[in-house]
Amino acid sequence: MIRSSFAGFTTAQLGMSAANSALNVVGQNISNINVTGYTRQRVDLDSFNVTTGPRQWGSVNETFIGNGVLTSKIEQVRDPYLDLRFRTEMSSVGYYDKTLSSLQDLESVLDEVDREGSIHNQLEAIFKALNEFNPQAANNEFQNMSKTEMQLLTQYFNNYSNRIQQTKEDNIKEFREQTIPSINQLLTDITNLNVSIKDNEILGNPALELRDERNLLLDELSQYVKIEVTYTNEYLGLSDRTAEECTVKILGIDDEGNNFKYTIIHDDKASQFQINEDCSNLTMTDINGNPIADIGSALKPTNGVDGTFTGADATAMNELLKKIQELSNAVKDKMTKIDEQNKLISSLSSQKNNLVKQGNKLHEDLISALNSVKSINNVINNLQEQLDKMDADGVDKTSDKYKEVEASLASRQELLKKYNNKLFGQDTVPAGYPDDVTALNALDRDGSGIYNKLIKIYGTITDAKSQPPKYATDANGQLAGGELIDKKNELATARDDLEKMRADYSLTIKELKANIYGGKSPEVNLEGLDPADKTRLEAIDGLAKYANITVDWDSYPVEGTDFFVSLPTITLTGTSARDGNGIPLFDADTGKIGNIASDGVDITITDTRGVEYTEKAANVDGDPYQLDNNGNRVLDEYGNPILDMGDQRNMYEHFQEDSGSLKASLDMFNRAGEFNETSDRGYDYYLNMLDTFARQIAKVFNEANTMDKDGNPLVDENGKPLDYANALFGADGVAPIKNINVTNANGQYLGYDGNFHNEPLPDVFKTDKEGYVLDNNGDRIPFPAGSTDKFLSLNATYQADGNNLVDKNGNVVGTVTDYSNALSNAALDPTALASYGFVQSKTTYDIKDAAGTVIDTVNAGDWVDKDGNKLFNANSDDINDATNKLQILNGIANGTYETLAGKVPKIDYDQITADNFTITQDWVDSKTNFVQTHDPSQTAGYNDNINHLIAQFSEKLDYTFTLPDGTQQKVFNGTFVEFYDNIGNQLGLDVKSSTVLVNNYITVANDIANNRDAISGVSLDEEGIDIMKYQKALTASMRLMTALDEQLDKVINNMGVVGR
Amino acid sequence: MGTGMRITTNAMIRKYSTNLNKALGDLDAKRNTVASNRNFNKISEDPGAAMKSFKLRSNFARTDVQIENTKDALAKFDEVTSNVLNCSSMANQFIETDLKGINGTASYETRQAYKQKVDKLVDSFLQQMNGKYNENFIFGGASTKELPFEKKGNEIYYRGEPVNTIPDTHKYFSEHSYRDIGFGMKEKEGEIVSTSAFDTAVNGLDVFGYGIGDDGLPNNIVCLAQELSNLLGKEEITGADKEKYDKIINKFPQVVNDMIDNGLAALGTKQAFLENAEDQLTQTSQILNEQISNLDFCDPAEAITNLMWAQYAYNATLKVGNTLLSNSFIDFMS
Repeated sequence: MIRSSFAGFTTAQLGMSAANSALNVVGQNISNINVTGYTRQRVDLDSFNVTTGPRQWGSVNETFIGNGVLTSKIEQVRDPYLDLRFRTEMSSVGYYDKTLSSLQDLESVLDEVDREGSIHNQLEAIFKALNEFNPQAANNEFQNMSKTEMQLLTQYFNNYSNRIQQTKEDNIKEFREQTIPSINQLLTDITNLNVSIKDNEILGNPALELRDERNLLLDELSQYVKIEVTYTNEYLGLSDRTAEECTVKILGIDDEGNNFKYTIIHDDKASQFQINEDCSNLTMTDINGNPIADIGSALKPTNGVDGTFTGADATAMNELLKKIQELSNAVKDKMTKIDEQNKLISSLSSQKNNLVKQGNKLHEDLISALNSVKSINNVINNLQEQLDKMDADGVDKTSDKYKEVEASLASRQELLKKYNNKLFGQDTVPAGYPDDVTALNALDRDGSGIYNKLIKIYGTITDAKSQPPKYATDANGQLAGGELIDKKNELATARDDLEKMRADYSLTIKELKANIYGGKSPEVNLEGLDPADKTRLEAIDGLAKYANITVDWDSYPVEGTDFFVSLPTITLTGTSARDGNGIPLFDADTGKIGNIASDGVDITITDTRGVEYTEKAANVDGDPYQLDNNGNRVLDEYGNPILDMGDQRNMYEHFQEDSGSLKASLDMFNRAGEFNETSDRGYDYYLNMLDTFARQIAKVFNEANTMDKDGNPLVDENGKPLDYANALFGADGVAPIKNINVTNANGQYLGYDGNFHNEPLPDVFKTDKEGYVLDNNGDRIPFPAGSTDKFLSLNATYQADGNNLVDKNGNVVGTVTDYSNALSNAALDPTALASYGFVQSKTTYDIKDAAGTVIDTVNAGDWVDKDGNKLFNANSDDINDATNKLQILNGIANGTYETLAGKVPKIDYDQITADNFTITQDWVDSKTNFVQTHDPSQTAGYNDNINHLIAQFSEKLDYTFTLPDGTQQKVFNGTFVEFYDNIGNQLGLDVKSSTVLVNNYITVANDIANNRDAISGVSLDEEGIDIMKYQKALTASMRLMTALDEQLDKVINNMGVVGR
Repeated sequence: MGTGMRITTNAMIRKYSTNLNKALGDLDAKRNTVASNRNFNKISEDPGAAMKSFKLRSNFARTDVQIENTKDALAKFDEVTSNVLNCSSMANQFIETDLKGINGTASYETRQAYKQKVDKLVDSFLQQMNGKYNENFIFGGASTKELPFEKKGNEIYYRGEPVNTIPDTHKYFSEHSYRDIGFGMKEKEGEIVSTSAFDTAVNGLDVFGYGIGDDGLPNNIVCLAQELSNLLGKEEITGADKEKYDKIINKFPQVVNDMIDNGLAALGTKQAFLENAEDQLTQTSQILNEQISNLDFCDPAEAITNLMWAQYAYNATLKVGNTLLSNSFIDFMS
């Protein structure tokens, strides 16, 4: 190659330009060194060499010189793997950091290590007061001392509980009003950046700084939830240009607990979060802004009756889906056929063209051969004439001359034979040739001569000399034989087929569109559809009657043609099917359909991928929003529909454990350890522990003050209830009455008679220590009827739904009838009865009328009422005799019998919380007093009950809470102080482990950040070196330019002297 | 490039600031330890130690209460002993001086004079037997507010029942008034386990006697004195009276001995037991206190050394920062 004289200038200029760009990038790096999230940029330089193909005047030596340097692009130095790792770690940092700060809030309330005034110390103070009270049992001032200490204890409980609740409320407020809006804003900001970056990319700007900004936001997002970020390059329109699209997914779990990714950002669209009032339900829209609700909001209830979805509905949907599948498959079959035909045509065409080419080539050969033959024949004729003349002249046949001519003739004739073979595939010319074409046509088509080959291609040869040869026609005037003719015919047939196919296809499209639009679109001409299609069409239109469906159309190009076919993908709209993109019911790509099954109670949907979803028919209401009685959406004050929270997919249940600060906050709000069978101890765990403790204290002291060790009421020597022996602790000053806790939909309460009444009736029945109701024989009473391991407990709170009893968790536990029957077998509790004044007399006395006449005699052991009047005889007429029991229960129910002042039949300890825990007002007012002895015969100063209570401080007690079925679940066993210390210790351990974990994760995250910095950060040393490097390069290029200039100056102005 | 990580300016600054912060945090923690003199200020700093500390503090508080209980019981028993000793010395004096002078042949007037003396003795006895400690009657068994001994007419009553007719099986003898003196006061089936606590009830009947002996005379010293008074009060002394009179005179020293033997000896044992318990409790209290100190409170020397070390580390870190960030390649470019 000859290099242009000025090529060097370009090289020098490119070098200067590259160095200049590099220096500018150094400038950008240095100036942004302190910008958070800035990623180091780098100039990508490529050596440039104009390479061309072989050329005529190219040099034989390998002296190709390059053409300089190209500044190909400015790029960021970033490792996506480190981003991924950093964000994963940050989700753990976010989780434990949030958990730790919440636990530290609790610590400020519950940690008593360095505190004088504390529950721990107050318990000791009570112990001390009781010990001082012990020898001074009859002295009021000592009782008052104990009372004051206990009152103080309740105030500590109130204070601690209030502060924890306040902390929880503050955090909930912050979560609702700050955290959720921030994360939503963050999602929106990221989509905005996505749009900007894409816009820039379309204009050719890589938008590096915007990417930095986006990475920062993604880092921030990763602390809230565990995310995965992916980038895909999408083609822009029909050009070969691509632009990046960013997708963010939450790494979560599905309903079965398997890992699953939920899309929250795709390109310019993002999901938004919403949280309900008590932060138990975190909902999310899909990226299109539709609510992600349960399957029940996508299926339409049978005949519009909420909570129904029959098997017939499921079958109908399946039939419809099958028809859609058939239709689409038919379209696809036709598409395949068109494709095959197209391929056939093009193959035939090329074969035909090849044959034509071969024919033309053969013809050229033919002409040249014929010309050669002609000249050979001339030579032969000439030689023959010479021989004939020599014969005539009588030249000696043995003479050299004669022999020479003879040999020459023979060799020409041999040559002619070869030509004959080349032309005809035989030694001799066929008979009749050159005049008889028929003779040629009779040649063997598969023979080796040129004519034979031509005949094979063209069928016949009418005039071998014509160019190209003419086609012969047969007797019927049809083109006869020949591959070319055959191919032409095949081609024509294939074309015809394709035409027919296209017509068919357009009908198919028409059918398809008709189905798509339900035959209602004015654009669609339904003419030409057969009746079966119309029936099918109506059926498909009907699919929407059973479910909210989304139909997405994907375009499929028909190979070899210039048109596209749209085929549908049908999904169940906006359901909780994983990431809110709906449950695919038909997928045109694979041709698979889903299946719906229902037995009227349970619904199972299998999607096109074979994934199963279940739903209760009872949840089917056809809409994710709240509906009024007429089935219309209820609107809020701004006219927006209000989400039906019951329908929404709770994202909280779909986050991975221990990831992200959102999950941490929600765990703190919702998890209460043993109390709701969760693995974390949030605010409610500690509140529940304090409640449990308050209840235990109330129970121990109240029981000691109201009954003896056998559970009998405390009475005086005559058997009359002690008026001061009442509850010491209660809720808000009163001991809460335990009632039969069964209510119906009208808010009425179940009575002893099995009917519902406006007022609740108290529990007056005998129970064992675990709270199960006992019958006359002291046995537990089975409930539901016939059960062998479940028994009646009045600790449970039930709601009657018709005749069904539903527990707090919404489970049906039995029937109202069973419950009432079981209750009717319950024995009465003597202490509860004593609160009404019903006791067994310990003495014998007469009852006299006003005139002083004895009208009745009460014997020791007889049951008497509060006024001492006889109720029933002892033994023969026991209290639990059916008639007597009924009399008492009726009397209580209709208000004839009232409790004595300050007395409560049974105390509902579940109503006592740390928040409302107090000593009773009656005790404050000294109407109730501390019972010092359980022995009614003893005089003042006797202190066995005080000792009993002192001993309780060393007693290891079971601490329990009530499960929905009334059974008591144990959470701890130990003394008062041990229980309380355990609360603080548990918190201390949780804080410690969270601290350790958060520090670990921060260390790892910092390491990764350092690694990231090692790759993406700006180093001033490096940039300094680069300045020098590129500055030198720039100077060198400039020097090159000067050298070239000088060189040219010499060439132009000083080289050569001729002609000057 | 070498095999090491590429170090950038900002990575260096970040690492430095993390370390500086850590050093400062450490300094703060050490300073807190010195200032508060505590090894830990939050449970989470050392949950194990905190748990142990709470337990020790609980034990300490309980031991304190138990020491008070023991002291209180001891004081009561001192009072009891002193009263019994008073009774015994009064009785002895009476036996020595007065009893000898009385005989069955004395005139009515002389007998009346003696009777007055005996009645006075009965009153003095009753005064001692109804003695109080801390407002509580000390000889009333479990009852502390009801007058234990009372003279009604010519008879002595104990909590409303004639002392002479109280049987051995009376419920008074099974009364208890327990105090927690550190044996882990416990209940079994709703009753205090007697070995787990100390019974401070002192039954006056046990100390001063009750019922009628085989000789037909009261076993109780006051009752015996009252019997004597009743006898001296009679206008006519019969032969049987005289015989009874002699028997009473003879029984007196025996009753006093019984009082000393039964009452004081038993009390002495209990007192010794309480003193022993007090010693032990006091010792326990000291040990607990020491343990709490060791656990909760830091060793000042160690804490201050740690603080100085943290201060030193922090200063060093500061110094490093000053040199670390001063120069880069750019500073040396010409």
